[in-house]
Amino acid sequence: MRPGWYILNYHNVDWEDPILTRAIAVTTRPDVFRTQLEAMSKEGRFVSIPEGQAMLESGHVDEVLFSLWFDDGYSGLRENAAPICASLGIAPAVSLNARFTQRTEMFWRAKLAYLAHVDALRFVRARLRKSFESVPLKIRTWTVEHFSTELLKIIDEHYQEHASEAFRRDAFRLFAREDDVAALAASGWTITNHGAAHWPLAPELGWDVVEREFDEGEAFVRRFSPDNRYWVIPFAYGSEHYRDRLMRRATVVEVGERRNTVKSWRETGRLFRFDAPMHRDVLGALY
Amino acid sequence: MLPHDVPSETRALPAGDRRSAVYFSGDGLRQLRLGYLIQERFPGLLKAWWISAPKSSQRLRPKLEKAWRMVSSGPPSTGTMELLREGDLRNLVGIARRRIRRGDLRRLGRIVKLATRRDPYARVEEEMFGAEVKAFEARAALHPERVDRFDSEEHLARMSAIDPYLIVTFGGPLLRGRVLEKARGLAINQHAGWSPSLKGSYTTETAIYHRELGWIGNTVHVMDTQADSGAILRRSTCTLHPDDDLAHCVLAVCAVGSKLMLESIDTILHADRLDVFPQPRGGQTLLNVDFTLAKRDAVARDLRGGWLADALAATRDY
Repeated sequence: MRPGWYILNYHNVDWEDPILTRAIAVTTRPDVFRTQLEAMSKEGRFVSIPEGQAMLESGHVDEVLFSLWFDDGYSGLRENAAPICASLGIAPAVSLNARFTQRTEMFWRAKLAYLAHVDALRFVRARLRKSFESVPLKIRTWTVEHFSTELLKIIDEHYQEHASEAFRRDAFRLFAREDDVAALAASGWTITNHGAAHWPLAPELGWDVVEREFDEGEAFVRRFSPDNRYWVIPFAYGSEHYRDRLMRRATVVEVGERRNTVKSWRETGRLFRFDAPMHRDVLGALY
Repeated sequence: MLPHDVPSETRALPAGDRRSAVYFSGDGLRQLRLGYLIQERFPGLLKAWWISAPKSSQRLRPKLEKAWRMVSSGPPSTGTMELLREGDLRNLVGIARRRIRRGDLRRLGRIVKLATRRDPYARVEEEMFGAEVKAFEARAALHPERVDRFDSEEHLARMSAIDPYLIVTFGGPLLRGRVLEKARGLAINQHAGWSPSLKGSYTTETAIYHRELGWIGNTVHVMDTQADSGAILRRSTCTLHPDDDLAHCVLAVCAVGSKLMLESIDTILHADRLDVFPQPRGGQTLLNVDFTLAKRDAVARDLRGGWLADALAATRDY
């Protein structure tokens, strides 16, 4: 492998992949996760995010370095990922969505996944077509690119209609609680900001809303990580619409399917991550 | 997760001290793992842990009988059983000429091999749970005890002495009513299948045979004397990867069940009332013999041909 800092972007590590997340493809099973980490540890050295960042800034990244970064703050991190990481001496980062951890708003993409599972997307599509033009048959990507508070309201109305109150309450078990996050922070994990509720940075939202989302996330994250400097872009989408303003506030972290080098850091000032592959051959996805 | 498609009802939990449970299990690492997980999560709760261990000759007989019935038109005679036990296919030829329905000794040999080996998933099970179970075992206070029969008078007397609030089961034989009624509170089971659609044996394999990705999951339910048919407490699907083989699918389902079981126990220990989801009639209850060699081959073909990767991709294309 070529020298550089390879940051792997995972989400959840769990035996369970319920109907709320299976369609989002965010869960890695613990045995597969361990297999992937063991393969990486034979090829390079794991560093924490602050260590890797310091090496980039000092201009010395002349070996293969790996880091792990978990998005969204799922409940499997403390129970499954943390013991495996600890056994291999790895200190990852996690980016939190404040409202998921605080159980005040469910991930809208999980609601959509649920609606797809119960065959309710036909109702969602019909309703969307009353408010938006050119709504395609497949709406997974379209909803990210055309995200707005109105779209969110439509998804939420259908989720409330098709899922019982008990199911909706139980669904928050997907996400870590605050004491889980505190435990991760205490064991050396870097806690970072992924916004309040994983809203994509669509142009329709506007900077005021985007900044408010990140500010809410930041206020929450600083309870665990007072010096946080990282803002992680949801869906790796849309940062170009707000890039200059985002970069004035924090180090912007994206999924760019590229390694970080001294050159890339000097040219962009941003960090890039690889989406962790769903198959076992993790190194094959990084070459 | 709570089931999303079955109506619920709320039940009051029986009164009395709840911090007393016994665990009946099979002897695979997946079942040992749950016994140790219960101890890690709820120290002092488990008062006894029993594994069904009939004499090896008793254990082998039903497997050999099953192998014979899968290819023959009648039950095996004593002589046939001896030859099966010895794997003596050459001398089975004479019997085969008269008794084997489809006359394929190679096929019978394959079934005997499948039926008599200890556990077809043992290698993958060791890889997935071996190190974890070993670590648990080293620090656990309670270890499994092997018993011949769960419903013997002696064993029932031991249960009465413990007077458990909770009976937990995973694997092993079906428990009879007089064993289940020893629970002051609830008897709950971890079923490696999607109830009510698939109950009984080989449910994960059968889900794949039917190409039903949504049925590759686990159900934790209240027990009655029918297989996997009591009211559901938790049910969910497991994490699958595009390059998983059958053993990984089956064992992942078991691991999800253990997670759901711990959640269920936690609720039973702390809640005043319990939301349960009585199973509607319908679905299938599968017997061991229902998972035939032809089905096993079909599942293997599907997995080799990339069905799982395709099915996972399809759920993400909406």
